[in-house]
Amino acid sequence: MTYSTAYALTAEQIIRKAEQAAYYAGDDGSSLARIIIVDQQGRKLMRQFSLLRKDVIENGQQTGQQNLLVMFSRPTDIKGTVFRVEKSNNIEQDDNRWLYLPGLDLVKRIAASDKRTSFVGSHFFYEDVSGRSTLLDNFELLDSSGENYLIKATPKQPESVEFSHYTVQIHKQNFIPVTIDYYNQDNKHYRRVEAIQIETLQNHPTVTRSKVSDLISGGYTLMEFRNVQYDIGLPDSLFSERSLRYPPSQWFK
Amino acid sequence: MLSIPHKNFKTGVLLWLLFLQVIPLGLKAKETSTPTNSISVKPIGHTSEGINDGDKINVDKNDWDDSSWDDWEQAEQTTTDGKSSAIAPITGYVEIALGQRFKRDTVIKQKQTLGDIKLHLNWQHLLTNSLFDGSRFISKADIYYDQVQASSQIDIRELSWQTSLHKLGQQGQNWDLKMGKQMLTWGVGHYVFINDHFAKDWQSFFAGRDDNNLKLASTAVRLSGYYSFANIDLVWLPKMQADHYINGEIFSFYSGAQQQNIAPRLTANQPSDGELAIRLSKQIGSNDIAIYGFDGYSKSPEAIDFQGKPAFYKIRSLGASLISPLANGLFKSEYGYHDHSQNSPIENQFISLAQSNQQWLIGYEQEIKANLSLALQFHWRNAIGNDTTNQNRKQITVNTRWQNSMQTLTVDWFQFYELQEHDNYSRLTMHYQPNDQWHYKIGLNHFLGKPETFFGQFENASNYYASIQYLF
Repeated sequence: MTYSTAYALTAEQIIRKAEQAAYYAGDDGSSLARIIIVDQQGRKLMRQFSLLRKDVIENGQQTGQQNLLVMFSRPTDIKGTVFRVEKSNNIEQDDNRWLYLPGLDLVKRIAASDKRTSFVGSHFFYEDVSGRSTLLDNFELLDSSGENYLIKATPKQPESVEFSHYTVQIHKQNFIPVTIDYYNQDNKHYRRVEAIQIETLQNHPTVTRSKVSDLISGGYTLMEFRNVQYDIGLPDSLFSERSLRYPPSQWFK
Repeated sequence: MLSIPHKNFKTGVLLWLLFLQVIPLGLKAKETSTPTNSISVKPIGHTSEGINDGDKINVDKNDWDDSSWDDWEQAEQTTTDGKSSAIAPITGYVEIALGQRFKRDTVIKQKQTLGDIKLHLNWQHLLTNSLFDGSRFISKADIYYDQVQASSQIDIRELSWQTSLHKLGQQGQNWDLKMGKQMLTWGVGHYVFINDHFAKDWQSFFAGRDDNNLKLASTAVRLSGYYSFANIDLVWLPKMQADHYINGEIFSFYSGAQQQNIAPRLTANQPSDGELAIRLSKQIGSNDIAIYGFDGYSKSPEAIDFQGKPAFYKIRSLGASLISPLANGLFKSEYGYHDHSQNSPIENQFISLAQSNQQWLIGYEQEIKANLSLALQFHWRNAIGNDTTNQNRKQITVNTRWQNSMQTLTVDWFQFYELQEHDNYSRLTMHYQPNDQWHYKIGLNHFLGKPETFFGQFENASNYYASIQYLF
């Protein structure tokens, strides 16, 4: 995209495009993912999972709702654990979540939780992975002179989050959020989420390597995606209890 | 469960030492493929606090290059070293667990309540030949020396084959089959089972073994059908599988006849008949509802036969459950009607087993602040008909669970409290998992109440324990 548009985009429009690019590319998708967690003492933990995603489309329009299946293969103690999420498009309504624990053959419904807590023990928050609703913050375009837009986001409900504000740099061509910097109440920069590598796959710019850093402790987490495929025609029926008990391996061939 | 002579204990220790020596550290050949169309991203310097990328945060190149990716149980999938792997790896852990009573039990000499040296193995294989394409073979076993029972054991936790029935035509596409030794669990209660009549291991539960050990594997054929009107689960157990109930081997129990605790190493004749369990479940919006049916036996010998011996009794049950989001948490409810009327009066002449009982469970759980959750349950059991086995209970459970922000430390406190008899049971566990290889756990089980009450009879079984696991 170039500046062929007669008017400049507003902060809200840029953020919506970024949300679309980062979380809603294609109508569905599959990939393998690996997370490496490096704590402040340099100890490494690894998580590996495969991921299936499908957007809920009504009358040809994105509703913002998504179905997700996360199937863990590493480490040993969570191998075979499957996480199913029905992502809500309504900030008043929590996501529905289920967890399958193979050791007990137990499908466990999980209560909604604070979205700004660790995703599987990593420095990524659940909200970093599933996407933070654009309805939760006010946005302000600070700078559009370089190759990225720079937008400042201030939470509408400051008491519900640990940041006072964050700034996000969004690539002007592909609208991928490149860097997000979080600041606390003392205006201290304490956390950064960044796209390390972006690949264009099936015409979708895709973040295949990303990193989140805890700037206070020095710990960080790397996330890497492989075998990313879009628009593979995942059936709706895949996102059900059946896949928890019997993971659908045929979609990873 | 299979007992083998415990001279193999030494072999177990050797195996364990061997495993500690030979576990590979997961370093494989380095990734060589490079993305065809990728850009490395450099943010522009809008960092007002001036984060120095080279200072505190060092992205170790080797982090990205560490190519220890697993196959996703895919024979066709190419591994990172460019070879195709058809055999899935064996995973598992080695564990040492020790526990003992707080006080002496006068009828059981042994102070120790837990002493395991265990090797847990887990191997799953996805079949890819044309006939069984996509079906899975799953095997899990605990091979361990149990110091308390002074015996070596092999406990098959799972030995099953799972397949879709799509080869059987249009209808078959909606059905999955799983047969063999397998875990079976349903219902919505946490440690409270109303419609789950599958075998449990109460000895392990009271001794502080891992939660997974609360369940015993049952040999069963499970058919699961998935339709838009509902999901159907049909489970046939060719032979009833009893609980590992409290029988006096490790923990003593109260005898009404003798007015004191006894430890007779109780055995009861197990019926050889089969059992049937059925569940219909459906998700409606954000609500999970289910209906349950069961035709089989009690899993502990709580009745007394005409010879005065402990006996299993027949149960037919019908029930339902609901889980629904409420406020910022989850509401859950379960009901079950257990009918005992098939038991002939002759079998029941020494003990008047209630004709039936009804049970309700109402629960609510919520994350009350980040990483701290609270769950409450109210469980009410009401016997119908002449009941001298004291099946009436009203109990509440409170469960608090806290995790640190990186989820390496978990503290879990689960409290049972009976409202009429005031007997209670506390389970407190602390897990520390600093890395993917080493897991540590300490915990206690504490019982309190009058000697004749359900939890009170186990007062001398109150114990504390610790375990170390090395995972591979």
